[in-house]
Amino acid sequence: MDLVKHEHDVLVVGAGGSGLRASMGLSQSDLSVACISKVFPTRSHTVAAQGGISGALGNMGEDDWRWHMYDTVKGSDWLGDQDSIEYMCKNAVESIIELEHYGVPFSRTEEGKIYQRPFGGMTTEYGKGIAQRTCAAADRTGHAILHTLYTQSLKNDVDFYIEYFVIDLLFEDGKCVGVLAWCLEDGKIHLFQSHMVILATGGYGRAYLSSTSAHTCTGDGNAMVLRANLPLQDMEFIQFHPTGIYGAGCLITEGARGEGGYLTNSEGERFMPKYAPNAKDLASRDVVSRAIQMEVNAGRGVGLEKDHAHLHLEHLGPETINERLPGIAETAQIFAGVDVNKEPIPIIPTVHYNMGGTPTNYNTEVLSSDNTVIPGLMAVGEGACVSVHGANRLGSNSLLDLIVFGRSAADRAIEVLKDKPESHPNISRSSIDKILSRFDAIKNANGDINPYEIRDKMQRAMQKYAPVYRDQQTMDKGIEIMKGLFDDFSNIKLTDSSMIWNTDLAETLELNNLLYQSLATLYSASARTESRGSHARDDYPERDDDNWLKHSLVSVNDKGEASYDYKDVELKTLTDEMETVELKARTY
Amino acid sequence: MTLKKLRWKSRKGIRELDILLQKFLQSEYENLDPNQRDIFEEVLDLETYDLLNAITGKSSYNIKYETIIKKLSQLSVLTNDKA
Ligand SMILES: Cc1cc2nc3c(=O)[nH]c(=O)nc-3n(C[C@H](O)[C@H](O)[C@H](O)COP(=O)(O)OP(=O)(O)OC[C@H]3O[C@@H](n4cnc5c(N)ncnc54)[C@H](O)[C@@H]3O)c2cc1C
Repeated sequence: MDLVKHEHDVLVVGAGGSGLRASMGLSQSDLSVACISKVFPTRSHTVAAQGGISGALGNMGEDDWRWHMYDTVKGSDWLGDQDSIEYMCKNAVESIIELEHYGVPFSRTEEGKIYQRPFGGMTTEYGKGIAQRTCAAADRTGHAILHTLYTQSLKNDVDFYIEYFVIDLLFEDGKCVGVLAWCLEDGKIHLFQSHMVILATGGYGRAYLSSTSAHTCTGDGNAMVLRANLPLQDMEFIQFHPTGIYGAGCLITEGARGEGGYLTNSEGERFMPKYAPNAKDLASRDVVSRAIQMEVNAGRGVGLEKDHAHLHLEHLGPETINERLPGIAETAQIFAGVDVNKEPIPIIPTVHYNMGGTPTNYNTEVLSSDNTVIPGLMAVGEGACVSVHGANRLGSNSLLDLIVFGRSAADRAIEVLKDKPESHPNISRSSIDKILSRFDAIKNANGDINPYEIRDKMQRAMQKYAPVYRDQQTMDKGIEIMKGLFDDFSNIKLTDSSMIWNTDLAETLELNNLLYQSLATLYSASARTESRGSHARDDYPERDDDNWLKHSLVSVNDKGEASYDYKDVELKTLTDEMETVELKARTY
Repeated sequence: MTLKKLRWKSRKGIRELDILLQKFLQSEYENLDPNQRDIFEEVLDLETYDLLNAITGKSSYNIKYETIIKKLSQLSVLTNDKA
């Protein structure tokens, strides 16, 4: 097969918030920059983020990045690395002001400052008060960020390759030297060579049946990392948003509870005060999700299957709902068939965010299991694990992560490439053939099983065996089943082996990527015998700092077998401007 | 556009539209006349939230999209299977 060849100094894979921020930063240097995306940039999943982006600007009252850092460490259940968290919270203000200068139309206060709203887990004075720290551009924050960064990147001559599907990473002598990608439009395979690849491919929410994320969220970069024999970090930590619409998965924002909405069980009981006496319905996401699951498990779920809960907004009145919660009435009507002024919305904890991913340092350089930097490879965004979110992410900290570390990636790449090699290395035919043979095997697969059947089974298995509450038996069963599905994949049948706009093929490549990550999740989860943040176990209900204050690193080989490593959580902060946030029990 | 290409172009980045557009392609697209099929392609080009708001009735839209948008919003109420 003839390859179409391209050479660039830096390749950014992914055009969501993190990839575009990195691209834009790089475009201000004299490096040649390409950004590759499987969907049009403004259709990246970042477009779904409506709530906002956090940063201690202090526009609504006193605020301090140290308080933000404290909240983030506590939110992470102490699994976040404190050097990275300091870096993120300290750089938040500057990064947000920069976004404003580039043109993001943030909502404003009457004095013309950026307006900031409260968000779960965000406090002042180390947990004492409620912080207003989250900046939003009306209810389109993610959309506004994508548009602004895309426009700026185009202006500064980033070369965009849109609707190109990156298949795998290329390595020579342990250094990442580019990628192979399939162009959906021309149906050709393209060889991209570079001195630096920055992965920004997002999370893998679609591993589950019930998920708030879009079809594109298949975490392709993470699977590429696994196939390059590198580990993924903290994959057991998956955030369930307490209020996804039952059945459809569409998100009902935390703001609904912020405005006075509350949850009930089949007895009509308002149950949150039992679980979080202070914060009640506004406790952090993992706490509320667990409470709903406890009610269901105790037989107090609502509905025919008694498997979900109710969110009430009826008492708020149509005016409040329309004014403060725009779009919710419509979403509930369409996706739950419910009139929010008259009846509660059926909701269920729904997969929402992946804390785990490709391990990096705060300069966003990808790390191997022994913590050394992999030359030529960086990672940012939801697919990366820096790790600032640890065992549980706070709302509005993800957009911040994208922007701060996207910027940091650009700065670091520029630094590293100060004395870049004059030419690109020769890439051996064998490296290319290895990738192409996997691609061809999938494209021409002529076995017995429809890949969509495997996808359905995988999504149901994750739902059942890696749920909100876990125990050894279910997870071990999950591994067995997932391993079976991983093997089944080698016996799939594709009916179309064409190369132009073959969406079945693209979705089958995505399925393979999801299978790798689902296994990584189950393996890490079954090994961690404690409860921490989003990883809640019936059989080990307590956090166990003596044995488990460490990051999981798991590798999955092409037979679907795992190997494990662990590394210490960084408790030291980056500078002496902030002391280590000492370990404490996490209560709200 | 082929159906497969339309499926890729229906990825607008948010769950809500994924559900509606995939459903539409499965059950409605076949029955459109060539003119309406062209219009559907234009509808797919709308900005993500302009399309969502058109469907939910929150904002107005070009009158020529009416048939498609109506079909999308009617189809939606029935979409409550576990997708
Ligand atoms: C409904 C919802 C609401 C949210 N609201 C908020 C919020 O208010 N505040 C907040 O902080 N966070 C929020 N989040 C989380 C946040 O939106 C995401 O974590 C974040 O947008 C991820 O950005 P990203 O840059 O990592 O990746 P994405 O935006 O997912 O982009 C991934 C990019 O990679 C590309 N890509 C992937 N695979 C390939 C491949 N194989 N080849 C080529 N390109 C590829 C895609 O085309 C895309 O451009 C929300 C999430 C959801 C689901």
